Amino acid sequence: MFKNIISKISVGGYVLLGGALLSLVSMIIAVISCSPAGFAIVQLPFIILFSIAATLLLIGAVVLSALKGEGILPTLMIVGAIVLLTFTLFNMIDGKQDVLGTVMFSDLEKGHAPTEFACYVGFTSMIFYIITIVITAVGSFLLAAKKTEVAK
Amino acid sequence: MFKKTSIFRGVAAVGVFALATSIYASNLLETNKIMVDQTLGTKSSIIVTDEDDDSLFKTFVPDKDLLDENGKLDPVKWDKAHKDAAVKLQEEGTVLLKNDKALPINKAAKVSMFGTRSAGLVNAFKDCGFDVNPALSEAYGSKATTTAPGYANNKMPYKLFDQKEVSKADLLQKNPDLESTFANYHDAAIVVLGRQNAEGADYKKGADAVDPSQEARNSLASTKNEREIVDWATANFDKVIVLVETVSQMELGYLKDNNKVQAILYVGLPDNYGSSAKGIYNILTGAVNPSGGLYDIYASHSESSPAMVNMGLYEFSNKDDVKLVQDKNLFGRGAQLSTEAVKALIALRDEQGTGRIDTSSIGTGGTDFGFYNYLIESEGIYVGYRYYETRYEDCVLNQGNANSTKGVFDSTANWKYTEEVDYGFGFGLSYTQFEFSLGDVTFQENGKHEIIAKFDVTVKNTGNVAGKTPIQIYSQSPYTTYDIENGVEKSAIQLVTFEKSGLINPGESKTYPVTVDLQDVASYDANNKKTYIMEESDDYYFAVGNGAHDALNNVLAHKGKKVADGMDYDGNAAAAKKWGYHFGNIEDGIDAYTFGYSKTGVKIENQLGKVTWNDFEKGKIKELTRHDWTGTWPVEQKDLKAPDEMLKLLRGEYFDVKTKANRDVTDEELAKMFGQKSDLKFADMKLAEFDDYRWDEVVSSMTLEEAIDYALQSGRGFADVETIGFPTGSYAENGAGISWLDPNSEEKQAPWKVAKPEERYPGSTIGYFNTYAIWASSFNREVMNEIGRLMGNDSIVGDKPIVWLPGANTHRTPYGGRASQYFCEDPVLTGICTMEVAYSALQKGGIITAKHFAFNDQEGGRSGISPFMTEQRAREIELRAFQIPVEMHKYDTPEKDYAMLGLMTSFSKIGAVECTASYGLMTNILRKEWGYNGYVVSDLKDDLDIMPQTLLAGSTGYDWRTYDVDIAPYKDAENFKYDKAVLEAIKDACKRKLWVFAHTPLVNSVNRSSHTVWNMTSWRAAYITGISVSSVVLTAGVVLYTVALIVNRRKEN
Repeated sequence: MFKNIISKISVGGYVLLGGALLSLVSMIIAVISCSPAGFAIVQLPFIILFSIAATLLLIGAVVLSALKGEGILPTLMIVGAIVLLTFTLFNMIDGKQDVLGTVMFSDLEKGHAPTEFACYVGFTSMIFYIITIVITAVGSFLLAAKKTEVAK
Repeated sequence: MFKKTSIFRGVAAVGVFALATSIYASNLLETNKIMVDQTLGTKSSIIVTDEDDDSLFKTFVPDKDLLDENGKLDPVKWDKAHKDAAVKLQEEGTVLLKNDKALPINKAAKVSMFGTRSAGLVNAFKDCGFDVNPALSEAYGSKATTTAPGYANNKMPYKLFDQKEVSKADLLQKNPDLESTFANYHDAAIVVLGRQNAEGADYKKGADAVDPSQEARNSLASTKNEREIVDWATANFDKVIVLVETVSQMELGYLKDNNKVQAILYVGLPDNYGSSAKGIYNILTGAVNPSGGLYDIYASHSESSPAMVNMGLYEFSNKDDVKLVQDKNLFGRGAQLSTEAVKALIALRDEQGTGRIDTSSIGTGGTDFGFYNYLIESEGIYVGYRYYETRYEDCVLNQGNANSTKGVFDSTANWKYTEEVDYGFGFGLSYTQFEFSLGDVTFQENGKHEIIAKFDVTVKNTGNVAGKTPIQIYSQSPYTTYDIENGVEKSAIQLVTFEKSGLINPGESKTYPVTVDLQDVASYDANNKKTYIMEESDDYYFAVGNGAHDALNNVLAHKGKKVADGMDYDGNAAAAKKWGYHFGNIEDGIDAYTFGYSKTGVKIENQLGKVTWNDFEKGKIKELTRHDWTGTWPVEQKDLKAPDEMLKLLRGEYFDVKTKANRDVTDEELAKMFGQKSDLKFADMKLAEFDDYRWDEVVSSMTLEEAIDYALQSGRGFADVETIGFPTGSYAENGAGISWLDPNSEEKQAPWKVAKPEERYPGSTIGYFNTYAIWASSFNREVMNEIGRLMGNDSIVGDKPIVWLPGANTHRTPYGGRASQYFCEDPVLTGICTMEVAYSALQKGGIITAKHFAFNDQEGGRSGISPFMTEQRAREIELRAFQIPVEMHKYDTPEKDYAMLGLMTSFSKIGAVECTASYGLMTNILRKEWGYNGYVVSDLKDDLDIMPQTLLAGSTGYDWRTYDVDIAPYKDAENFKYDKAVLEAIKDACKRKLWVFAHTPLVNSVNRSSHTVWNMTSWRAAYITGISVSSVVLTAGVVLYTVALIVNRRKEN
C-alpha cells in the first residue's frame, strides 16, 4: 500500500510533502523561540495546532491524490493548508512583535541574550513559514500524483 | 486551456494567500494607524474646514529667518539654522580639562586620530581643514567609513556599554606599516575615548562587569586597550590631545596624571551631522576659546560616592507578598500586551483580590522589571559634588569625622579631596584666565514669600586672548545645631544660578548683575518644621568660581582658611561674600514662614508621605549626615523585608474607587456630566485662559466615551474628539533635538509648507544636537533659548505640537544608564536649562514635555522600583529640577504666568507609591504648590492597571503606544463611571489637555467648521489594492478551476 502510494507521487506531490515537513520544522523553531522563561506567547497553541493541521492536510492531499486522483477534496486541502499556514505566520508576527521591536527596530533589548534569542529564533521561524507557504503555493500549481499512474 | 486544473488551483492558492495577507495587513495598519503615520509621515485622518475664513495659520507662524521670500519654509535655511545652533552649542559646552600648552593647534594641522570613537569625527574634521591620517582611520575599519551623509551612524555606532577599544595589535594586524604613517601626520595625535549610554540598563559595579583581559577595576575605569592606545600615541607624538566622549563619568586620572597627554577636552556625545565636530575643531584651533564648565563631578574612583553603596538591584526578601499578578506564559518579559493576556491577568487579580499588574516591563525586559526592587538612597542630599565638596570643607574645618578612612577609595590614607576627585563640577579651563570678584549683596522683598538677592559679579580677563566664562553663583548656608538636631542637611556649596559672560578682551573687566531667588537657598526641614526654612544667621555666603570647588575654596578663604589648614590651594576671598538672613517671621531663630509658602501662596508641607524606610521601620536605616561622616556612612541594604503597611502600598491599594456595587453617582447625574448640548467647539477656545468658564461647557459636551478616550490616550497621538471638533494631536519624541518633521502635510496647506520634504538623511530620527551634558556644560541660557526657538518652529512646520524632551532627572551616580538623556547632577542647572528651552519653544506654541517626573535614579528595576529617600532630598535635588521650569518664575509678568506645560511621569515609585498615583506629588506639589495647569503623560505602558487611581492623583494620560483594542479592558467605561471623583478627574484631565493644545500650533488649522475625516494614504491604497487584486485572483482561480474540473469530467465521461 505504502509502496503503491509512493510510486504514484509526482514531483508536485513531493513539493507539497516538502511543504508539510517544513511546516513542522517551522513549528518546532517557533516553539524553541518561546522557550526562554517569560517569552512564551499566547498564540503558541494556535501556531502548533495550525501547523500540525496544515501538515496533515498537505499529506492527506498528496495521499488522496495518489489513491483517488486529483479532485476537489485534495484541492480544498491544499488551499486550506495555505490558509492555515498564513494564519500561523500572522500569529507568529502578532506574538513576536514586541521582541522584534525591542531588538530589531530599537536598542532597548540589544545585548539581552534571552530577548535576542526569542527574537532571532522567532524571526527564523517566520522565514521558514514564508518558505513553507511559497513551496506549498508552488506545489499547488503541480499535480500531486503521476497522471499515468492515476489513469491506470 | 482547461486541461491543467492544477494551474488554476495554484492561482487560487496564491490568491487566498494574498487575500489573507492583505486583510491581515489592513487590520494591522488600521489598528496602529497613529504609529504608522508617525513612522511614514502619512496622515490617516485630516482636518477639513468646511468654511474657509482668514483665521487659519495666523496664530503661530514660523520665524522669517526660516522662510524663503515667498513665505514657504526654506529647507536650506532651516537646516543651516539647526546646524549653526548645534555648532554654537558645542563651542559653548566643550570643556577644556587640561592644557599643557598643546592647544590651540594649526587650522590645517596634519593629525592622526586614535580610538574607535574617532570614526564619528574624522570626516567632519577633514571637511573643517585638518589633514587626517587616512591609514590610521582606515585601520579602525568600517566604523570610520560607514557614515551617513552626516558624520556618524544614526544609530549608536558602538555596542552598548562595550568599553573595549580596538587594540594596538589588531590595528597593526590590519596594517603592519601603520607606525610609518605617523611621521606625515605628526602635528598632533587626537585620541578619542568614551562610553555609551542607553535606557533600560545601567553600568554594573566592580571589576566583574569588565572583560578580565581588559584589566579594568570597573566599567568606567580605563581598559588595557585604552591605556595601550594612549601610550602608543604618547610614544610617537609630541602632542597628544584626548577627547572624552561620554556622559557617564569615566575615571580620567590616568590621563590627568600623564605628563605626555598635554590636553584633555570633554566633548559630550557628538551629533550626527558634524556640527559638534565643527565646534570641537573651532576650539582645537583656537577660533573659539573654550568656555564650558563640567556638568558633573568626575571622581577619581567612579564608585566612591555614598550613593554608589546602594546602587544596583535589590529585591524585597518577601517579594511574594507584593502579590504582583504575573503569569510568565501570558505576560512575561518580552511578551506582548494582548487582549487575552490583559483579560486573563485582570481575572487573576480579581481572583486574588489584590495586587498589581506590571504593564510597563512588557516587551522591554532587560533589567526593567522592578516591582520587587527597592533603592535605599540614604546618602540624602549628598549626591554628586555636594558629597565631595561638603566632605572637603569638613576636612578643612576638621569637623564631622570627615577626616577618616571611611569612604576612602583612592586616598592613600585618610580621605583626601585631591586624591578622590579628578575634575570638579563646573570646572573648565580657557586659553586665557579670569579673575572674579563679588559686589555687595542687596535684597528685594516681593511680598511675604519672595526674597531676591542682588549683586554684581565682576569678571576680569587676566590672560592674553579674548574669552568667555561661565559665571557660576554658589551659596553656602550655615550648618547649625538646629540642623544637627532636626536632621536638616546642608551642602557646603550649591549652585543657585548662573550666567555666561560675553567675550572679554585681555585686560578688560566686565560687570554682570546677578539675582538669586532665596527659595533656592532655603533648606527643606522634613522632620521638625516640615517645610522650607531659613535660619537667622550672619554666616550665609555667595561665591563665584571656576566650578563648585573653586567657589568653596573662595568661601573658605573668606573664612580665613589656607593651604596650611588642609585646603588644596588658597582661594580668593574677594570672590565670596558673607551675608546675613534677618527677614520674614523668625521664631527661635528659624523662619519657616517666608519660604514655607509657594509662589502660588500655598502652604508647603510634607507631601510625599512615608518616603524613607524609617517611616515604616523606625531606626532601621542610618541616613548620612555631615555631622558624622564616619558613623553614618551608608551600608548596603540587601534583602530588606517590606513591612505590612508598605506591602499595601506596593499592591496599589491607594484609593478606594467606587464600583457598580457602591456607586456614588446615579445614571441621571452621569448624564448631566457628559454629552450636554453646546455650540462651543475647540476652535472657539484658541488661546483661552485656563480659568475661562467656557472650558466646563466644552468638556461637558463630550460624550463619556470620548472623554475617557481623550483623558487617557496620550501616547502615539492624542484621541480626536468629534463632538468638539478636536483633531488628532501628535507629538515628537527625541533624545536631543527634532530632525525633519514632515512639512509635507496633507492637511489644508499652510502657507509655509513646501511641496515635498528633501530626502535629507534617511532614517535619521535624532541628532542635530550634542547630548544634554553639553547643554549643561555650556552654562549658556542663550544657547538654550535658540534651541528652544528652533524646536518651537519645528513644532509649527512639522505639525508636532508636543515635544517629549528633555530629561530633567538628575544624575545620582556615574553608573546610571540613562545619563545621556539628563543634563547633569545639579537640580538648578538642570532646571534652568529646561526652563530656557521650554520658554523659547512656548513662544512658538511648542510644548516641551520634561521627563521623567520623578525619581528615575537608575535604570535597573526602573519599572516599578521603590526608591526611599528623605523629603529634603526629594525636594532639594530631584524635584527642584522640575520646579524651576514648571514655575518659570523668571519670565512671569503681571499679565501672564508662564510655565512649562508638559510633563512625563517616571516608571518609578516614590517610596512605595507610584509617582503617577501619588496625590501628594501630582496634585499637592505639582498643581497646588507649583501652580501647574499642564498635562502629565505616563511613561510607556506604565500603570495601566490603576488608571482610575492615577487620574484621581492628578495624572492626565497614558503613553500606551499599542493596539487600541488591547487597552480596551483597562479603559472600559465600567471601570470609571460609578465613581464621581474619578469622573471629575476625567473631565479635569480633558480640560487640561484641551487647554494645552489650545496654545499650540494645532489651533492653526482649525476653525468652527473643522472636523476630522478619513484620508486615503499610500499604505491604505496599498492594502486596498492588495485586497482587490488578490480577490480577483482568488475568484478567477476558483472559477477557472471549477470550470476546468467540469470540462475535464465531461471529457472523461
